[in-house]
Amino acid sequence: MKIENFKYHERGMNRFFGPLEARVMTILWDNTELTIKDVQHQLQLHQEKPLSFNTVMTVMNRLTEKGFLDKLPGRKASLYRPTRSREAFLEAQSKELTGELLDEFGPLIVNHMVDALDEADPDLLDQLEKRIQQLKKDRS
Amino acid sequence: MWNNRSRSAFVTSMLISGIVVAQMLLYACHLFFGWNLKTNLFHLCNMWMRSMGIFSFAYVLDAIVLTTLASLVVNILRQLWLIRRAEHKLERSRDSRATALMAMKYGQITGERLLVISSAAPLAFTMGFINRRIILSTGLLELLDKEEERAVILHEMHHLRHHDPLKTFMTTLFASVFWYIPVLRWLADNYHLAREILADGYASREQGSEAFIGSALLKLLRSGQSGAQPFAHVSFAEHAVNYRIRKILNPVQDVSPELPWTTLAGSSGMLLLLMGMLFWAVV
Repeated sequence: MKIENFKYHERGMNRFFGPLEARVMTILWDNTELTIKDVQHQLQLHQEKPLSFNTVMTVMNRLTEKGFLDKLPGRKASLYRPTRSREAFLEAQSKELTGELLDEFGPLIVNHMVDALDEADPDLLDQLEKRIQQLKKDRS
Repeated sequence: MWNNRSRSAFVTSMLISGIVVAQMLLYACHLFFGWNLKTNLFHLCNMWMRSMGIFSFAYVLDAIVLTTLASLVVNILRQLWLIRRAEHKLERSRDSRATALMAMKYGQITGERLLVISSAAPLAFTMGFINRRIILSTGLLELLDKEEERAVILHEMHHLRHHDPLKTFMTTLFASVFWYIPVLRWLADNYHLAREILADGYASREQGSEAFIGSALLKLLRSGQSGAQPFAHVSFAEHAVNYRIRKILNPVQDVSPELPWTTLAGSSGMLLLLMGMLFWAVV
């Protein structure tokens, strides 16, 4: 589920999706499970121009193909549900983006506070935690 | 002490690399333009190999010299291009409000050289050769409290003031281009560790306690980092953070990594061989 064209200059969800895709995703994240008709109805609430059922269906099927939505068999019509919660999606995207950003800097030009490959000894981390607590107590 | 260690690791690395690069350049000029060389190591090696009748070795030597020089040039150009591209991208993920806020808070320490980017992953680093900058992510600012934030900024400021990105680049570049001189890798890793320990020490001194840089480090390590793998090599640098933690736990104790005798023996073996050839050629 990788975003191919990340748009740096856009804001919010428009960074990851096209304008209509972003609104469909937002509606589904707010409602968990909806049919195409439900989504079309919700879109119309904030839109002056009428949107055809086909347009909404095409967008939702494309999002399903890309792996952002799951299509579930409903009683009358299929239900659509986001594959990940909004939080999980954003976290995954941001991790991927930062990873790419860092890869692109090249390996050598940055001095990181903590290198990604740094593996700390868990015992040392526990000792550090105790020491910090003690140091902070001494100061206060 | 770490100051001396950092300086000697850097100077030794530059001295070895500088001599080898200079010798290689002269040798390349000899190959292409027919310059007359008297005491060039590679020229002497070549003559020795030819006199022993091992011509294939002489060709291998020429190939090593030329590919090393080419890879040096390619690596430097690639890095300069990457910096340009990264700066462009960073500028686009700039969080203007947070950047302005941080400039107000820490402007006296950092000047205009602090950029906050919007990213959930906790990131803190210094980059750039000439136009040096500290980059923090919004995720980092959410993770740390006020004193820890200051500790990280002081730590990065130490890197920035001492041109660490450029110097680390140079030592790491030579270590990877001259992979057949293993001591350069050891020196580069040592230098890198020394810079981190010195930067931690600077933050502790400025704040009068190891508590804040320590807890910032702890939080970053516990947060599992960004998942990025910016360093292509695996070596003791991978565990360098353990030396940093030990130093914070016990600031007066020496925590230096052991000397890798096999690496040193390998490199000095090579040196002895070259000296032997030089001796043979002169006599």
